[in-house]
Amino acid sequence: MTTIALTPEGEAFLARVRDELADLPPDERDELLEDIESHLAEVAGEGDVALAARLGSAEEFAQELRNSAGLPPRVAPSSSSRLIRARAWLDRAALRGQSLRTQLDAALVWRLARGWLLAVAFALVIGGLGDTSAWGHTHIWLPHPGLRGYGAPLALAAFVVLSIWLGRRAAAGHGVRLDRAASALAVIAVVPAAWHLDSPPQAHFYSSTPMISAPTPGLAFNGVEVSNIFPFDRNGKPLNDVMLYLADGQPLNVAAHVVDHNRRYLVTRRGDRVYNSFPVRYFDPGTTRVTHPTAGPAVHVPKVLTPPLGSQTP
Amino acid sequence: MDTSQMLKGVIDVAVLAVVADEDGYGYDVVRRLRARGLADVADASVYGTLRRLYAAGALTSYVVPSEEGPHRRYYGVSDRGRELLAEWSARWRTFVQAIDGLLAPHTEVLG
Repeated sequence: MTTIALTPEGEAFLARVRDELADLPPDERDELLEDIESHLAEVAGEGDVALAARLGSAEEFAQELRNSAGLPPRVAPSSSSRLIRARAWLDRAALRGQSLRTQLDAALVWRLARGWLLAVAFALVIGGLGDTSAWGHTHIWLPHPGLRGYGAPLALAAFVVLSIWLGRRAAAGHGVRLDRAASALAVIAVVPAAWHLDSPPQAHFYSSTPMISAPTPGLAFNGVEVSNIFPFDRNGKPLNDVMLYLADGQPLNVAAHVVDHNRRYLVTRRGDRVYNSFPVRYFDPGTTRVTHPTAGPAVHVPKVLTPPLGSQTP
Repeated sequence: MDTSQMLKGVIDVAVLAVVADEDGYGYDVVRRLRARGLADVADASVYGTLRRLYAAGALTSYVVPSEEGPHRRYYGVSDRGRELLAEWSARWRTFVQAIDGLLAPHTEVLG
C-alpha cells in the first residue's frame, strides 16, 4: 500500500506507540494508528530531522495522544500480570503479618477442605453430575460415591489423607504439579458442592416403586398415550381437520412438545402450528404431500336412528 | 505562562476552525496550525483532538487513498461542529476582551 515506506525508525516508533495503546479497543487503536502511520511517512519524507527530535519519544507521543483524545490513562496490559501482582501482594502480606505457624495452619485447613472437595468430585463423577445420589441422604454434606455402609465416610477420609499427603510432598518439592492439579480439581468442585449445600434435596423416598403411578403425559386413553384421533360423521364419512377442545376451552393438543417435520400441521395466519386438529396426517417423508389423505382405521360406523341435532323441531 | 499550556485550552476550537476552512488530514491540520502562528502545537495532540472531536460528532471523516503513501483520513466539519464553533468563538471573544481589559494598563507600562 505504500511506495514511500516507513523508515525503520518510523516502523519502530509506530510499534512502540502501538504497544503503549495496547489496552484500547482494537478498532479505536487501529484508527488512531492509521492516522499516525501516514503522519510518520510524511515526516520521514521531509527528511533531515530525526523523528524523536521532532515528535519526542514514542511514550510521550502516545501519552499526549491519549490525553488529547480524552482516552483513559493506560491500564494493566493483561490479566496475567495482574495475577502475578496479586500473588506478589499475597506473598508480601504473608511475609509481613503472619508467622510460619499460622501459614502452616492455613495450609492444613486448605488440605482438609481440598480432601472433602476431591471426595465430592469423585462422588459426582461416579454418581453422575448433578445426581442427588452422589450425596448422603442423612448427612447432606457427605459425598456418597455409591458405597454401602461406611464406604462413604471411609472414601472421604481417604481423600483427606491423600490431599494432606500431596500437600506435604509438594511442600518438600516433590509432585508439585500433581498437587496443583488436585487443587484445580478441588476448586472446580466448589461449584457443585456449593450448589448442593445451598439447596439440599428434599425428603427422599427409599422405595424404588412409586406409590402412585404417574399419569401418562399428554393425551391418554385408559392410560395409553393417544397419538391420533379419526372422527367420522353419523353417516360414516371421515372428517378432516377437526379441531378438538376441552370444556374449559383448552385445545386437545397432541405431541405439541416436538416438531415432527413429516407431520402435516395446520398453520395459522400468524405462523403458529395447531396441535389439536384431527386426524393427524403425515407427509410422505421429505415432501409436503399426503399420499393417502383418507387413510384410517377400518371402522364400522353403525346406522343411527336418532335424528340429527339441527333437524329437531322444538 | 508557557504557550503549550495555553494551547491546551483552545486546541479544540483551533482545530475546528482550521478544518472548517477546508477539510484536511492530520498532518495537514498540524501544518496549517503552525503556519497560522501556533508553532508549539504538538503533533500527537492534534491527532488526539481530531479523534475526540470526531467521536463527539463535531467532525466527519473519510479516507482518501494515496498512491505514494498510506491512505489519508480527511476530516471535515459537521453541522454540529459548526454550531460548536460559533458558540465557542462567541465565548472566546468575550474571554479575550476580559483578559485584554485586565492586561491593557500593564501592556502600556511595559511597552
